Amino acid sequence: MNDEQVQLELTVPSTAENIPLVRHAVAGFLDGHEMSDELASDVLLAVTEACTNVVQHAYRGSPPSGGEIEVSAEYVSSELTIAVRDRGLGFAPRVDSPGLGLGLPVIAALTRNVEIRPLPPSGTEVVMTFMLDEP
Amino acid sequence: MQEPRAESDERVPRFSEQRVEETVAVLQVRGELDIGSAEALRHALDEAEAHANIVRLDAASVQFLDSTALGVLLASAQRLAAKGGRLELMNASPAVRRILDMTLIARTVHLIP
Repeated sequence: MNDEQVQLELTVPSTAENIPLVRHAVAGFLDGHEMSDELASDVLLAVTEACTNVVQHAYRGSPPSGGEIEVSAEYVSSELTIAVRDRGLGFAPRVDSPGLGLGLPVIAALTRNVEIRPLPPSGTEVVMTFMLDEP
Repeated sequence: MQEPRAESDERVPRFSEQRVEETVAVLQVRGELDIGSAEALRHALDEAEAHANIVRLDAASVQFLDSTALGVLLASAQRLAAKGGRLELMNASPAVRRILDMTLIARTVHLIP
């Protein structure tokens, strides 16, 4: 078992064009660690869904690029934790949502655990945990 | 004695065959489908739907698909179904199939191995 902590920190403007950038950065981070293709796909999909929520909801009403997506990832032992944060309006139901509303259910299905927390003074943090494959 | 029923009698069973030609458009899609490419995907599907009632999306070169792109596929499938057609997805990777299964959209989009 490896107890070494390996981390990734990334902050990008909250735009749709930057979501592939985040996904590819996380993919690069995953590359150095042994995991199944299925788990790697799950991680990238969950991160994409969380970032899409930021782009679609967090800074609505603000000018384009009015906010940022902060992504951090770390391995601790056999656990991978990825947090996606924004400093936007906060987590709230939205009747005029532009999407299908599948983002959070998909994240919940893909992760071992997901926590959604408010970030004072404003913003939201989505913390997703994945278990690496058993050897 | 019973009078033969006139041709115009609505009770007379009649059968007519109308030949409906199914038009199929095959749409080759490459790359990663997410919120950044959803509009381009929507546009490509709109164009295919305009001249076909069956749109067959070849996903062999689709490397990634998220729920935003899925929403675009679902909307297209519903529009096609409304005019008697369907959206077919062929050559989907295991990762693409996984999100389709997870969201039960595989019931609306026809999967072709």
